[in-house]
Amino acid sequence: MNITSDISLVSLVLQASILVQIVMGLLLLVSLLSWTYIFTKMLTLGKARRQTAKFEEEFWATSDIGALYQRAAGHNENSGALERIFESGYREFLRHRKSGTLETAAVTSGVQRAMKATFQRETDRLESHLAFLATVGSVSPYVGLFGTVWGIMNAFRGLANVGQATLAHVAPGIAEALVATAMGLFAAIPAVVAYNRYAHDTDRLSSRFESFMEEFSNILQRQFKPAQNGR
Amino acid sequence: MPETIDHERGVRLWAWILALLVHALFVAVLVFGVSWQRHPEPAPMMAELWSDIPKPATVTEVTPPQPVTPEPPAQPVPAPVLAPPPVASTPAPRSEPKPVLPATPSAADIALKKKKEKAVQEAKRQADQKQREKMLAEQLRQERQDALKEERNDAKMRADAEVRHRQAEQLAQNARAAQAAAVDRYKLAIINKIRGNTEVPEGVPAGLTLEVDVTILPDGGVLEPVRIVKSSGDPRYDQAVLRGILRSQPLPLPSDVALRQLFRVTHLQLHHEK
Repeated sequence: MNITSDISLVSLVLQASILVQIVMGLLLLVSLLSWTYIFTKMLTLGKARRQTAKFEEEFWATSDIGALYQRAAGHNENSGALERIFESGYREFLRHRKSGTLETAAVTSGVQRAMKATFQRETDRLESHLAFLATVGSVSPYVGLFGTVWGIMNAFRGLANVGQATLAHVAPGIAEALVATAMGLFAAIPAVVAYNRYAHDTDRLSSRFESFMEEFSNILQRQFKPAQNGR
Repeated sequence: MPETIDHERGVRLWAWILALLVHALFVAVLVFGVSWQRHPEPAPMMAELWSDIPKPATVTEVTPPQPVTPEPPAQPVPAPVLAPPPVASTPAPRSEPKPVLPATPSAADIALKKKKEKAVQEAKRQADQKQREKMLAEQLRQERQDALKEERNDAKMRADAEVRHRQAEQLAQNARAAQAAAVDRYKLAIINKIRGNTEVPEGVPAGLTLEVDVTILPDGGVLEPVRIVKSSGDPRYDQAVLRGILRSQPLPLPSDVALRQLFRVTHLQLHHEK
């Protein structure tokens, strides 16, 4: 069965012309990479979402922000994105306190800048590889189509050499060419779906970070005033 | 930044494994999906065989009614040969007991006692003989009855065989008649079509008859050259008819394969009327 079949997948791929084979290899590589990124993003985004939810819960439940900062600074390995934003902001706040800056506006803006920098770094990390997924989603169908067109061109050129044109002469060429399109679509469809999904997820996460940053800077501003009065 | 790279590294291995799994699954689905398409391939081969088989099958179907009928009579034929022996044996036992009876009384004449004893013995013997005779008679009767039964059975068998034979003959005759009718019908249709396509030039006298053997291909096409068996005597009419035959391709043929075979070489008589 496997040996005699003319239209087995393996023989289709092996009998294809070199250019089509290159296209198919490229698409396979791209598909593998995009799936790897899909799973990487799925796992990292899920982790980020869980860590963010956990830290928000802890932040609003605790009364001692200093203790939270100590813990956040202590274990960098397991800290989430929001925890790192909080840590950078609070560190900046503590530095201002040590140096004895008295202007509230200067402290607040300094803290916000520090948090903004960390926030951008974190969102960049969350959005990493999303561009690759978008590129795969938009380009790989065209690459597959190119392979198909080339394969069909070859099939018809082979047909010109044969006196009597039958479907049997063209069918293998067209089938092998269509494998390229199938692979392109197989790479593109999950990439597009994953890109849309993950872009939406990162947007939601970053808006959560931003609202936390605003709230946290407000809290710090309120904390700074009693310290100023004490001096 | 180095922290972030560390975070992704633990995940990346899993991601690679999952990605490879997905691709393996996809390839498996494709391979099995294509293997489904292989099954229809032998099917058309079967169809080609089917188109070849009916021809011999129908040929045997037409002939069987004749060979089937001779078989039943072959069985009853030995039966009557077996039946006569019992009939011949029946007269023989009848003649035997009669001479035994007069032989015994002639031997006894000396004393009354002896006579009595002998008479008693004779009576016994006679009784025994009578019993034997009865037994023999019963046996004979049974044998006769058996023979009669066998004869009756044979007669029944013969009758049944005859009935079957007649039925088969009738069926065969009916089939032949139906076939002949169908052949005539299609011949008429062929001739009509040829007539419709024949343009007889003017000046050809009426009453001409052309006999032609046409070799008809299974698709209704005509294999050239058409053989003229008996010319009409007027070459103009002959040529016109030959042209008409070629023009009326494909000729109407029965859809039945067995019937169509009878049209391989068709003898046609074309009569010119005005």
